[in-house]
Amino acid sequence: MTYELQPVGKNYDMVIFDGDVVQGTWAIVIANTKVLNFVYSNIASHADGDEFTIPLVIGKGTYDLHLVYTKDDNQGKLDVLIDSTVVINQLDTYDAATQSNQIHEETNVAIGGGLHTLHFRVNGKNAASSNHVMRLQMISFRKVA
Amino acid sequence: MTLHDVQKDGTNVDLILTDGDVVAGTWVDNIDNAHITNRHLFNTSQANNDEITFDISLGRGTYDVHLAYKTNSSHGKVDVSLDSQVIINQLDTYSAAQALNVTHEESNVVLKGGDYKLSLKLNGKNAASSSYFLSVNYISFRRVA
Repeated sequence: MTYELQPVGKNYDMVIFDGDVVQGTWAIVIANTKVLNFVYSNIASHADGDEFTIPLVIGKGTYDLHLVYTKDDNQGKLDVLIDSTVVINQLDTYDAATQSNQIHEETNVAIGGGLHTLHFRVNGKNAASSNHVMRLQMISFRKVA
Repeated sequence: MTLHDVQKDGTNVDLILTDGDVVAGTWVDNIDNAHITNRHLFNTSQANNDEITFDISLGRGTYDVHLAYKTNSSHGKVDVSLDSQVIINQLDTYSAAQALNVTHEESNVVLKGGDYKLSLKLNGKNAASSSYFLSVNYISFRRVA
């Protein structure tokens, strides 16, 4: 079974429309200027530490991660973890003006094959930001090695 | 693809519900920017037993299934099946007032793995509902064990 849980990986695109909530209130918000026409957001709770998870099964390999998100003047910083490993560290989603469909690329993330839990967690904010809101859309795992 | 290949341990699968194979009724994929992914698939025939299917390959494993859909006062109950295995039983999509982008989570669905016909079939309605509409957007199979 160990062998079958560690197949060679391939690309995987995950639409973030529903997660298992750890903290806060997360919901779909329709937004016509976004790719896929919505964001998944903690706009209702907007607290530091707000978090949700999504189960992830992926083959072993090295991946470039592409996260699609929104920047705004009320947004926080984001940690993305695979199990307990931080793979995107305090991504600052603050901007003085709304910036839709931003893409953050995290290169050369080595992932062991098998069952994982993907965490999305608000972790702090830019001093200029008014809040800890997060607006996410999708994440792509693109295998490079 | 060999039998062994299709029955190997599964990974997450996300499916935008568009362009299915109609078994009964008339189904329309309608652009509507009030919905996630900017569309919804619904049965203009609004009859009990209306059904549409999609080809889908899923590896063996235990999954949480997330379905995004619309509720309204004219909507019916839906069975979601993989071949002959009903995985969501008579989900009631009636509500007195319209609600868009509602998500239902069905936990711990055990699958043997293989190539399936994913079926969405109207199966009855709430006593308060005026008809048998079904409007769906998205289904996600997230492997948890």
